Amino acid sequence: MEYKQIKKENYNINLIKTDRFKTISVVFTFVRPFKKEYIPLSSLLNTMLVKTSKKYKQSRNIVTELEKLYNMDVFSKLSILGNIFTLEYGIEFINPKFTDHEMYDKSFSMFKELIFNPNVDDNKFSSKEFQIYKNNQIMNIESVKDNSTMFAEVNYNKIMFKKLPYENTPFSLLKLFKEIDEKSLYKFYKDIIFDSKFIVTVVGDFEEELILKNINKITKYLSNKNYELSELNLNEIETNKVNEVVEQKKLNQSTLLVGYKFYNLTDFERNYVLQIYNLILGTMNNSILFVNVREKKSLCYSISSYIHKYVPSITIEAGINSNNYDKTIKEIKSCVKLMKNKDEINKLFTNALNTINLTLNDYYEDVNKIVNHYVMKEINNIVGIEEMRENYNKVTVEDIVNLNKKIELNTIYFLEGTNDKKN
Amino acid sequence: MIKKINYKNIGEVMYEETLPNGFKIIYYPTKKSKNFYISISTLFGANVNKYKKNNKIIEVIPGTAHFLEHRIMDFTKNKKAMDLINGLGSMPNAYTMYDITNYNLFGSVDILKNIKLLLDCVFKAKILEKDVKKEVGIISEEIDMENDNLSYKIMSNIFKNAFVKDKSITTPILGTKESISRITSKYLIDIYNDFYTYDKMHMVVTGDFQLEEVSEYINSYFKNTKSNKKNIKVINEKEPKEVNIPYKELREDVTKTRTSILYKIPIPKIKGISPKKFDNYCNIILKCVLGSTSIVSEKIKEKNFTKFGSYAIKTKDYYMVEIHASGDNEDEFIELINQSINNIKITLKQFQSKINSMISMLILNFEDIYEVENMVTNQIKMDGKIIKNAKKDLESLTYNELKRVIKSLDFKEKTILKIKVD
Repeated sequence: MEYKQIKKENYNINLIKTDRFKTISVVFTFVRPFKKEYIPLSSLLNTMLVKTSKKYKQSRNIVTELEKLYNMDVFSKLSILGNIFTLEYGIEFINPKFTDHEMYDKSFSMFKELIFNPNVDDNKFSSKEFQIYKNNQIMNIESVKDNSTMFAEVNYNKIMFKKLPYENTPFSLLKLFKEIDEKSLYKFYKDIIFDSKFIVTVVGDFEEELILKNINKITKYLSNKNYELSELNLNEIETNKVNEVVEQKKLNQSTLLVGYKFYNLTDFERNYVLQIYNLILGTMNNSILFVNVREKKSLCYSISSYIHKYVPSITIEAGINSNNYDKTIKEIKSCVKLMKNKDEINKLFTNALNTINLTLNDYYEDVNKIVNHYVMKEINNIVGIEEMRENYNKVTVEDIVNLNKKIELNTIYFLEGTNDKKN
Repeated sequence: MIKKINYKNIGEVMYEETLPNGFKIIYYPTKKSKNFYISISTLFGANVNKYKKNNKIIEVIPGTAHFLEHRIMDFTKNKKAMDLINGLGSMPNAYTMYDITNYNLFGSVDILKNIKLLLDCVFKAKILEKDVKKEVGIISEEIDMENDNLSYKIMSNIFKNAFVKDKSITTPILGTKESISRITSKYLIDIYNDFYTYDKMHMVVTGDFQLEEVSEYINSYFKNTKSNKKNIKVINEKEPKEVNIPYKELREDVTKTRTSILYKIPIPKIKGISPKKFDNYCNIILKCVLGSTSIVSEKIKEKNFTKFGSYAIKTKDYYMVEIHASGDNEDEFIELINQSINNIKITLKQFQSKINSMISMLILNFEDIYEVENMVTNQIKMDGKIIKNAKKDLESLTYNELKRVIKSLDFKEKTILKIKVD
């Protein structure tokens, strides 16, 4: 894999040349300081750009054109990275060396049509398609209630990450979503696409000259605004007492979410120790939570943990029978306490390091991970994958035990299934 | 002996080997990945409900295949194996479907140790009564979880509505709390001995490894083994053409009505069209009529329905197409689907475009070592062998044959399920 950065007058192009993939991916990432209204606006904008355009009003016409281009994929994604918001538009097409050399120009031309020739009249999105997609999205957002795990997570986030970007989800911002109209969405489009900091990333075994020629055709319209991006890391969660919330729903199984915050972490702890701590506590197949809560006590079918790097915290999620609520919480607390026991950590430590190594290997096989890495490198100046690997391998059992001294229970959220009491 | 399988025009090579005991291994060595992925599958899943062995009929308890999977893939009870996996940093997993149970390991360190771990786990399983008892609690929680899953609820209900006698897809994969409480270790061991035989199983190894070294190791592992094929015959009741229940309504805590329509189509015998070709043509028809390029998909969006989707599933005698959406004016949805299904028109251009798209998907399967395993396992499950000329097979499809297949499909029998807001 060869990396080359081309510094243009007002933006950078990251070229990652590799024959690992049979496809070529080109991704434009627009970067801004986070604002919560970007979430509903971007969700709708992504649909309006990828599903309809000035030339192709209906999404079926777009898919038909993409099929002609050997199933080219056009994608969009929004992300919250601490205090930063990113919006991504990209294409993935089969390397023209397997199909037709003209595919370079044709693929870019289709991308240009979709992202830069939107379905707009009189400075507003076309009402017909706008209303269809807006209504469809409202229904999809509301249907979060039909998925108990997602519904519990949305409610948990509002409590655990109160006043932080991560408290926001399309569901919690539905009111803002409903207020968007054809005009305000177009205004947002002009603003975020044409007036943001942007980064271009290309991955594949491409012909550089052809790729650059086509990228230039697009970037000449964009003005790279050099926003002052604040520190990615967010403040620690501030609460003095444990939040305990129980809600009820007609379900067979209850969902339990337990959130712990970490305080005063060093950069090394936040970037490396925390990941290994998470693997040992609740991610691996033989993690402390899985073995104790599921295997030894049979309290649940599923239990796992995940972390937030930018708001140092860990969340434990379990699907349980409501009768086991107290027992499960007690057991989870015991498992977290076990994380200070060197002998327990030692048993799983090599496994965790090897799992990290395995995951890092995966990076070379996943276009998304490669793109994310180079975008993060520009935003946050992160180190390369192999340097990361070295740093992970510097973590010691002692580091894990010390991290456990900085943990504090913050939130217990329980979506109680009212059907499961009958069982 | 290892046979080489060349995927011409795609630039990929696989290898196939069948051991004297009947166990089949497929290898896909590649330097694209720094990792490897190993799987072992048995063609035993939730679709086996009854079988004949030495003139004796044996009833299979619903949920057996899945229960067995839980007891076999259990590294936490085997400390020695768990310590080894810990040391290697590998990730084990398993799943059960209607027609298959699959055990797999993903790793990057010492492939031979990983292969031994997986082979020992699958072929030297220890099924103890105390562990079986404990497993009932864990699987009961899993059943609760699935019963809260709307898609699962729709799928299990619509299959029950469609089928009268054939239980091969109406039995829940996880079983019920009642059925799994009847499972004992002795019963599981009997089933294990009958269905985990070399002739019904295969192994796939993909990723970064040396072919000769891995093949030599697997051969030496099975050195003194013989075929353990059992004289068993799976029994499926003859299924009538008619659906069991044409219409059913349920009330649930949902935000909008969920509607599911299932067409029960007898598989026709068409001269000159093999079952594999028939599947490919049906795939094209489904994509054209109900896929994202179809007219109906636009109309459904315009009428404010969401979660629109469709899939096909086959039993021995029937090809079934399920179509679903969420939205309140469900009769309008049913009408739109009926109109499309009963008036199938596919242009030559559409047909060619779908073939190109299927070829491109075939090429992209080789991007990922998981996808290669998935593709191989599916081919063995569906066709009993690897499809060596998949690209050529697609290129050999003709527009005239497509029209003949469309003509042969009988959409008369259907069942409708509505899950309405409680």
